[in-house]
Amino acid sequence: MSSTAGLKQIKKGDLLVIVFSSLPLIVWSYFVYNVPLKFLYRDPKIKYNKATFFLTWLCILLPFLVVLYNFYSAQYHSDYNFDTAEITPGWQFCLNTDNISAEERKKGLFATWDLKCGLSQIGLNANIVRDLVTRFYYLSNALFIFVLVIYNSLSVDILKTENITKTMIWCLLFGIIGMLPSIFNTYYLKTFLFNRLISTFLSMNIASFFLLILAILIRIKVYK
Amino acid sequence: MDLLPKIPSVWVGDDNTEYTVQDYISQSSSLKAFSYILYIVLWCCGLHLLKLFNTQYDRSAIITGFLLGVVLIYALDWINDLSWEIAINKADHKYYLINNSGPFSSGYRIMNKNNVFKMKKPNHKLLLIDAYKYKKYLENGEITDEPFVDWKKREFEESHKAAETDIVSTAKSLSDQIEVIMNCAYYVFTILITLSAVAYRINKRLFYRILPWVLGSAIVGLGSMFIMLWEKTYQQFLIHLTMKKKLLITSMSFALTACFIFLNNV
Repeated sequence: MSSTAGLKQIKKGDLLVIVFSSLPLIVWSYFVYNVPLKFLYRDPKIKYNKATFFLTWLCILLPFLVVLYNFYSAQYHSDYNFDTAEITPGWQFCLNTDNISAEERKKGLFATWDLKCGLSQIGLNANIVRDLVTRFYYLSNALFIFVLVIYNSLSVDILKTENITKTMIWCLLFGIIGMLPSIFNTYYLKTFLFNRLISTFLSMNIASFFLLILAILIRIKVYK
Repeated sequence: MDLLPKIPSVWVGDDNTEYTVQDYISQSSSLKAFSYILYIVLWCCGLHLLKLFNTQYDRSAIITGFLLGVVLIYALDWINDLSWEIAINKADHKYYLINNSGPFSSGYRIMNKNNVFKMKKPNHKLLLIDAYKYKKYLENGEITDEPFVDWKKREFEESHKAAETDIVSTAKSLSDQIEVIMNCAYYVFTILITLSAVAYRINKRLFYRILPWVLGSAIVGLGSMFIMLWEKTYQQFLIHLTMKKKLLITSMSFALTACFIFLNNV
């Protein structure tokens, strides 16, 4: 870290975004190891053909691909410099160390904070939070309707299959975690980083939903 | 390694500063203690519901859910009390840490008299000043000031005198937050309805094991969110908001417990 009076630069600060985005992948790896991979490789009763095998792996890798793509397009590919911030275009930079005279610096002034810009950060964070929370809700709602319709219209009892039930509960668990941004939504850049973390949970929720659909399809095919 | 800059800073504005928004507040230690006691009482009520339904204790799921709730409430208090800020500098687009833990009880201040710094009128910028130098100006009488929270409180009490942008910005920000929290309480409830529907179709005994937690979550989440209080002061409003967030965390901890019980028994 290097410092000027009153401020300390975070070296390779842009990597914070990728660190926050990647943290949920630890939870995803735990889920993948215990649910889809277990049934993909360790359960002889479930038969995967090439297409379902490929699709299952695609769903498993989906959150990793999203995080890698975000990293590549924004942080890595843009300027190959992790010291400078490469975050969403709507995010304005409110701290400013320019336009301060030598006399003012001598008096102790080292930076200014633009409140109008701060307000735009609050607004952007509020919009992202609302967007994230709504997406989680729609996904959970879709899951509810999906389960009711499928359950009532099939002769096969899908809920008696362990991997289907477990995937469903994990989907709901991710849905509950997805409500957390509403609690930590007023802390400027810290909220932004937290929202990046939760957006990976959203990818995980969508991927687990796809896995659930696949598991149901396989179940129907096996017992038809 | 010392992560924060050695020189602490104060964030300073004056009476003509506009677009000031304060949408969170550090709770007093008595209020923090009260929120933890409330959390424990609500959890005891949750456990009592188990007795009412005559269902068995899923010890590991209950302990995990309880601890996650405590961690989240602690995290909320911790982030509200933080004495540092992280920001990106417009001048070089780099990330910087700012240390706010100076010699003042509050690092955000509004100058009433200022013979040192040039300020625009109207002004929408806060000055970040070396806290020790600023303290000297105060001691020499070149500047007189008050904490931002006190100024904001007075501004709201005399709202007809205050800059319209301040009142509108803050009020809108707070009402937006309450709206999102209220939505979340409802969303958690719908997720739990799905969970209950699935549990009921798998095994009725499992359904009755998660039902107390589903009900507990609904009572705490929805019950607290739809209580509408007309606060007199701005500070009360912020404390009310923080308490609502803590009740949402309690509701979520019940919901997580229901999910863990389900996962452990499938």
